[in-house]
Amino acid sequence: MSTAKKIYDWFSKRSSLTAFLFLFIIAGIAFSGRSFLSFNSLANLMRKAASDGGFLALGMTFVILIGQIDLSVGAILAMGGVIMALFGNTHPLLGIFLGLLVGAVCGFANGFMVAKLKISSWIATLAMMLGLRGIVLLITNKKPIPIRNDILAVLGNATFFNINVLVFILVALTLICMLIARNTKFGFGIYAVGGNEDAAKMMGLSVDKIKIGAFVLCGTFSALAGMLLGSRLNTCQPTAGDSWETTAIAMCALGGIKLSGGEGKFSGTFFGILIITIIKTMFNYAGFLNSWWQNIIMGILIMVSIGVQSELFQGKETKQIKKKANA
Amino acid sequence: MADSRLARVDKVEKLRKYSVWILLSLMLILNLAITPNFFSMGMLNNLITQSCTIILTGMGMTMVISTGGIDISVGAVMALSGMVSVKMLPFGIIPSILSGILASLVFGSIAGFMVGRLRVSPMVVTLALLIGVRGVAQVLNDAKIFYISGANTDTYRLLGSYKVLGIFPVQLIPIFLAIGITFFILEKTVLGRYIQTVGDNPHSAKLAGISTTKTLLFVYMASAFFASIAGIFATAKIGAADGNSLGLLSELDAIAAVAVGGTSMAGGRAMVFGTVVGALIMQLITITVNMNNIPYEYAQVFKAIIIILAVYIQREKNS
Amino acid sequence: MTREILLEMKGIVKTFPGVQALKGVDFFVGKGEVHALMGENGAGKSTLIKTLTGIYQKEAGTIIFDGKEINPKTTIEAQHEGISTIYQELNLSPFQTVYENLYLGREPLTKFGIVNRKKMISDSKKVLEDLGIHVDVTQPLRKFGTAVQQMVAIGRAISINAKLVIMDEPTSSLDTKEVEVLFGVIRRLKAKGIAVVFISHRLDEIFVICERVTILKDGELAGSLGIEELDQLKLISYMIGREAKQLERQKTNYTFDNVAEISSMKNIVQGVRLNGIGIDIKKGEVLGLAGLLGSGRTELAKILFGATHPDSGDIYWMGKHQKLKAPRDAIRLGIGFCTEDRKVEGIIPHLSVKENMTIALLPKISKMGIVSKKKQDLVVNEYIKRLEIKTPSANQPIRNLSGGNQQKVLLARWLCMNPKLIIMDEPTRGIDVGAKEEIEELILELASSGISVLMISSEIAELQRNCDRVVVIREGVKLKELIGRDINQDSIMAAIAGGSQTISREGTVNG
Repeated sequence: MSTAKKIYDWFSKRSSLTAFLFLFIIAGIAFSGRSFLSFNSLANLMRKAASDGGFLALGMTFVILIGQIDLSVGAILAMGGVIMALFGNTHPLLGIFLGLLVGAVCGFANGFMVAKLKISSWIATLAMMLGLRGIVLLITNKKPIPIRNDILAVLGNATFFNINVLVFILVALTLICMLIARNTKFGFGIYAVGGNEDAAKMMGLSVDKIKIGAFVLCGTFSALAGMLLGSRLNTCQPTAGDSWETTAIAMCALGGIKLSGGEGKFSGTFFGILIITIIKTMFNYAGFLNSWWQNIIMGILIMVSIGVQSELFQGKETKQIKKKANA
Repeated sequence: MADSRLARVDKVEKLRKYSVWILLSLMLILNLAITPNFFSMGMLNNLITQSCTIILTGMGMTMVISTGGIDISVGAVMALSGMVSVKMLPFGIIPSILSGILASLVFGSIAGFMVGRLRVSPMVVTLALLIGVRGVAQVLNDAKIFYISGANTDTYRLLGSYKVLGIFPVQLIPIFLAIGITFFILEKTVLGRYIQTVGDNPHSAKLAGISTTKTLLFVYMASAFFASIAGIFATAKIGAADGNSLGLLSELDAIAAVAVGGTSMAGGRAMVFGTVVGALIMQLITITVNMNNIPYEYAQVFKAIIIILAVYIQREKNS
Repeated sequence: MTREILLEMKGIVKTFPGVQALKGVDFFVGKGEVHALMGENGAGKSTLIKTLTGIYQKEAGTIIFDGKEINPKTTIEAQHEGISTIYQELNLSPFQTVYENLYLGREPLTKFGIVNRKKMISDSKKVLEDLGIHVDVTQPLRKFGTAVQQMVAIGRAISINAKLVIMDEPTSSLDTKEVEVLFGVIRRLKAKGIAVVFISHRLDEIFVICERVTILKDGELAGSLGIEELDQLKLISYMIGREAKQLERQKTNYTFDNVAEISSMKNIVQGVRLNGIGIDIKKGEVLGLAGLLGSGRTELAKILFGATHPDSGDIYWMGKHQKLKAPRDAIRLGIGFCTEDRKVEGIIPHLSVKENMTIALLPKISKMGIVSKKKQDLVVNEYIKRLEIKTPSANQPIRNLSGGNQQKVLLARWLCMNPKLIIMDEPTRGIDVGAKEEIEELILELASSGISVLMISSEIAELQRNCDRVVVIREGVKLKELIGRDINQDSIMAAIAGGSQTISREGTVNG
């Protein structure tokens, strides 16, 4: 095999990475006059990726891999931030702990409804989103809670080598997720449940535990996102993360995580996050476009992505597998 | 042994049929007890005007859910329709309304095509529309609220403020029409049978000669149609087209109304009047909370719990 | 040469509401034995196996496995005892790799608690090589055909230390070469002392690979014999044997020689199921399709109805070539199809009797899309009377009716369309004797009024009674045609038994 073909194959297997590089190069050329390629703007890009929903996408990946969805990630984000601020202003460590705990608990509730009560994850997490948003507004009396503690303030604002700490956390978490997915029994179980749930049950896996585990991880990541966001903005808003669930889904879809479950890698999600972020950044640079254009583009991207994943374009084998699994 | 099972199944079906009415009565009694001035013309007026949106979108949603699908883009479609109709107002009231409807139907047909022909998950398609269509609505007016002004303003605003016979709010007309049309389609026409069959057993539907593609295309377009009407009436009432907030979260209300009303989320038998009662219940929750000076967020939480309960109860019975 | 018994099932009883699936069945399997379990649909094979593997709980009887009495309540329990099942739908994880599939749920860990991939890969290679399979275990499972996937399932069973492996229709989607490979694997299992229960309808294969055969019929043990005591005809007679009661055959001579053909199918090929088969149907004729399960009869019917499409072949209706894209097209021509599995493909469970019956008729009884209630009620009441459908009212949800009455409603669905051809796939399965007679009378009535009937049935007595002509099908090809006076139970059975050999009788022991 010629080196050219080898390189082509390598890239075509990593479509998200390729797409990202493609966009990056375009942006670099288009905005070269405005120092797009400077260290600062690149660091900003990464920081934006981390703070604008990157963690949500990582958590969401677990849930989509098992063939479900979590529409409450934005609401959990707000909840996590608010709880942290409420308790953390006086007891920072307690605040952090409780913030993460509330994320895990909400995730557990979602997982319980889906696995044990057998409610569709769309309905269950939709209701969770509605209910949580209400609770968050009630707790905060509709007012944002400012951060008054130094430790909390540092969480989202520290920098190392001029790069925001969020970037390091994002990279670290991505690596941890990759480790979990590839190298733990739980990770194996996630792919099994997503690929063919009935088979997974037949092979003796505790499907319910795996499902609940995925939702708990997603909830915890979402709460973490809210805490870090609040720290960065120096205030935790009850309306934080509004509509961010759709961004997270788009990041996953573009990262190659198939919505039908069982396929996709965390490295893909990472680049999906970057792709969405760079598109948003390009919009900012372009300036004249309404931010709502992002919504339109996002909608189209999701449509195209699922249209391509749809039956009409799937290979014969996948169709047969799905047919067997659903028989 | 088979007979006692039949008897049990019958009782359970009856309970499910009447549970909506029981719930409604409970709500009315509760309000009678604790809410001052509950049974007044003012409250009735409020109920009618406010439930216009949820009943209309509920009708569309009933048809979609009856096919085993779902449509969470109705709120965004409302916003689009409101914005488009207001923008086209200078050309006349009829062109204004027609263009709002047309714009919505375009997206409804996209959804119907992707679900019916490409067999994509309805949740995902309508999620993409939820994001994209609201974006279109916003972009049309540069994300600014469009206050209705200029030619034909008064005619348009009539849709929000007119009083039939001097007392009844104008919203009564679209409400009755929507319920009537939906009931007629689902109960009296061939298409209505097809819709419920596709949801109940798609295999049997195909073998009975039904075109699932055409049926699904219809219901998603119908849902968009009702949403567009709801959007126009809502915009007329407010007096402005707000691409950001119009119809926000209204899909949740519609789904709740349908679920509580007895139509199974898995598809099949459609309970049109059940949805109407479910819609009234949802609206009463909001009204009760308002009239008793309780923060609206409690209503939100309560609604979420009701959705979960209703869906859970229905799942049990489908064993 | 005593036979060491591994599995002893004695007096197994299992009932479901309305039907006794197992009436006290005995089943003995020896150590390292390749044992065929046979019987038509409804005979009780799958119920028996499900009782053994923990999916169902027996009501009476004992199960002794490897000297110990067991009563597994879940499939995992059965697996721990050493009983593994290779299902027809395989139950594997398609997107994960071969080695991941082999070790799913029991992954070996390294010292640090993470999964030891190296060990998994090398162990899987060994397990599969032991079976004579050499594949790249690091590829996703779905890259491989059914044959290899089956091997992986078998490999998994072995590595869980199965002592008994049950294979449910393992060869239904394999070609001849792959079947040889499977048989090689089975021989290796045998050499290891692992017993194999082989569920299949392919008589040729049974005679190649199995040592012993157990036949179930109507929930009872019809016979259990060594393969050397059987030949194909004898085996078939155990399976679909003669009915004690010989009902009179109404028809005598074949009178359709000069009658016009209404439909014909030529050279139909579809996957591995249909291998260039063709039939033709004449006006007013009752044509029976005979054959064992898996012979391709239902598949052929579905193609005629437009529900599936053949890979190649032609369909003609009234002499004109047709392209049937969906059942709609067939219905428009005047074809009706009463399916075999009414629950999955027939009834619309939550809708009423009335709606179920008229669903295909609706376009004909409506004007501008609105259904004429009057016409609808007329039709429904007529057929409730004519078929004696027992229901409290026409508005009763159909799922509340008994199986027999549901079937009648489905039949009425097509009858009320006044079709030119009705395809009936196992029309009297699961119906009581009284209703059976009524339906058969109906079929004869239809035929005499000029409607053709294509009847697929596993009950040769039924075919004998009602058909003008019987076509015998085996493994997707037409074997023989019986006409008029030649139709009787013996000739049908003999026709099914005699058939071309697709597998060599000598199995060679190779890798």
